[in-house]
Amino acid sequence: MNSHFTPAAADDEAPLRRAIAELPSNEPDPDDWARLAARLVGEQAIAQALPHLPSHEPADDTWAQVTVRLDQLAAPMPISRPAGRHRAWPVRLGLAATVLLLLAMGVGQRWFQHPTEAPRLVVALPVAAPVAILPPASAAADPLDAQGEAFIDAHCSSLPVVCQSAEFQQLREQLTVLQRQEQLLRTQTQRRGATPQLVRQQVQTTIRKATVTRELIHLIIS
Amino acid sequence: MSRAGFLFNIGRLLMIGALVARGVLAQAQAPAGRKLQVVTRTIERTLACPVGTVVRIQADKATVRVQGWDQPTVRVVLRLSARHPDRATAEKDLAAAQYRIAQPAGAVDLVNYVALPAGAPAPASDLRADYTVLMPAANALQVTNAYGQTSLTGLNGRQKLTQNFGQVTLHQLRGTLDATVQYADLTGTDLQMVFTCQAEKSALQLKTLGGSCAIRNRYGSIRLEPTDELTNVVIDAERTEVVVLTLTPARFNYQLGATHGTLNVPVAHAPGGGPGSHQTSWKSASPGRRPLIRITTTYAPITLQSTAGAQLSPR
Repeated sequence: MNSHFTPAAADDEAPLRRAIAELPSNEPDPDDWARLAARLVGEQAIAQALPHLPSHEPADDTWAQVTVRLDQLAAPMPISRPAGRHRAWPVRLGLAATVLLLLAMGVGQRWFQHPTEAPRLVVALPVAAPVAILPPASAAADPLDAQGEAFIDAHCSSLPVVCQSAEFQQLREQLTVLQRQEQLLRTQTQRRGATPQLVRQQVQTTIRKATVTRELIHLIIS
Repeated sequence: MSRAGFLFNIGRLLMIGALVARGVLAQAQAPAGRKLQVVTRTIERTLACPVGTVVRIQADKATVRVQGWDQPTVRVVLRLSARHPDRATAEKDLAAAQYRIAQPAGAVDLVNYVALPAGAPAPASDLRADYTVLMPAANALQVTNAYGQTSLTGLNGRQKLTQNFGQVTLHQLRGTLDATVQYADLTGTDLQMVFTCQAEKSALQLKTLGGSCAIRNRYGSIRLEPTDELTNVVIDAERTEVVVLTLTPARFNYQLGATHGTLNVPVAHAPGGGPGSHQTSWKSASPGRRPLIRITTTYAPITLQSTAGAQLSPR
């Protein structure tokens, strides 16, 4: 770039402008974005599908049956085998099956990730933060949380006057909004990992939700 | 006791005021037939309560006021009520509001509950109980309440409280209190005792706090206003904001830790210099033995504030 610089220019800014104009333009191919999006969607689909994959646990008696069949096959053989080998075969078969399954999964994943042999994009994707500091599950499913909400809603039939008040309705609406927000944050945490910012947001939402719940119950019981 | 009684009366007046205001609102907003009807039943008892007897209150959706006195007896006024826009429904449902007052060996039991005939639907009315209990101040007390208000005043024995939802008011307490609260607003004033509190999603506010206290809270808030009589504080909080407000910050030693949170300690108020702006843990380095305030929390700030001007601090 420096080789194109001409100090003879009268205008101070002119060489800089020229240099900028001569910079190699790095506009990515418009198709790249579509490919990138497709790849991200594919990755997400895999991440979502993985927990739902059927587990292929063989029936309890499978190994016994395999052993029996092997024994039957082995029966005509005149040479008697040492007892230990009876067990080694099913184990080897199991290992072979596991290796095949893992290979199949690996191939499947690669196939999902590269639906077409797209050219490799040199784009650094942000690495999700480690999921080591997931918020405790109790924050997601607090039985008292549901109990409090049920109490609030159940009392609207016996105390219509309270429930029709503007203050009550406003708080009830806030509770619904906070519940949605909490749900959203939970989904984001599952997707992106529990970053400190996400956890802090989640903490604020949960604290606010608890406060609104307490205020609503206070209106009902006082 | 007369002062506390006076406070009760003020509280009652305020409550009546609120009810009247609500009644006026009700008439303005709802059709005449929807006005809330309240039917009540009142039970009054006086029971012997010698030294060593524990008073056990198992309340549900109740207002519980317990106050210590110098008589060797327990005086109970229990009011059961049913509230519903339709008076006949309220009257019918009140029969389901039941109580038990019993004296097994070494104890006085006060219980309210809802009893329904087999297969009967849940009562449509809002059923509530209201306890006013006077008991020997030094005797042990155990209270359980949910969806209600509990206030303990002028007691100095071994106290235990469990409450989910509602308000807790503690006033002029000595002895020990072991509290377990969830979704509660707990306010304490003039506590000179060994106070242990296990809380969740609760707002705890302790003013004129002396003695020693150990608190846990998750997803809530804690606000302490210690007095010079404070001997020791341990707060082990999670995802809970903690504020300490004191007239004399230099009287105490501090160990503060806010993982993923912030420390707000004005240097002028901190004995031995405060933490740096990005520090999340700090130990005050002041000489001499002083009562220790030890606080840890996560994802939330810890704030130390002085109620006096900075010029009063030793620096």
